[in-house]
Amino acid sequence: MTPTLFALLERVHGHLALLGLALLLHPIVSLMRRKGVPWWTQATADLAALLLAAPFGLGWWIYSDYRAHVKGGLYATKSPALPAFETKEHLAVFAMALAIAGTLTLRLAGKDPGGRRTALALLLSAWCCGVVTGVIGMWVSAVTTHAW
Amino acid sequence: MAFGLGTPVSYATQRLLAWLLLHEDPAMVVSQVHTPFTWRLFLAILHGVLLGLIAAVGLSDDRAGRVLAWGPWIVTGVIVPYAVSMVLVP
Repeated sequence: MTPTLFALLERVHGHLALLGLALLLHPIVSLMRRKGVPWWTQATADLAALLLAAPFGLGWWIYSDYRAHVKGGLYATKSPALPAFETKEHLAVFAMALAIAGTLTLRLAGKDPGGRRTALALLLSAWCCGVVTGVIGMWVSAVTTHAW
Repeated sequence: MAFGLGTPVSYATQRLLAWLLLHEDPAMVVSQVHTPFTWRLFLAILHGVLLGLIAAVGLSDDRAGRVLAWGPWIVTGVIVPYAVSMVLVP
């Protein structure tokens, strides 16, 4: 993989995840305010889970190049971004799994009040983990790609 | 819900066990030929899917309803400590 392609995929990865997090707010707010599950709430939950799973897969794909070409530099400079990146990966797994579980729970048990509350808890947890992941990701990206 | 709890718990447990038993330094990933993250991830997803299937087959609608009534507390009580542990143990 060329450095330019890596940088491009890294940006796509980050932007898609950001879009997924923004979209995930819709079912969260909707479930907090409404008693039922309108079709658009289910649709945005599904799409948000997909938009979080897709960049997760993309991040996994470019991870080997990150290890080969970027991580060594962080290790050599003893950058605090190195352990932070590991935390980001862990929380990204949490966010992806929770978002998928939340949308599945909403789809399978959305008619039950307990099911809706559980789906809300799963989606909200996914969003919180995703936001921390995103903030750390932006920081690591800023450390590894200096503007000059 | 079972997948949402099973996958993160399995992933975090594997990482914590590696840290406790192998004294794995995160920086050592640089010098590793294979990627523990990939194996850990696949195993965690497998655990989550299996737990989801067991819950889908083994729990009746009534029992599932009772579990879901406590769902928000279970999700918060399980996910928050594990997420915090992943911040403390990168």
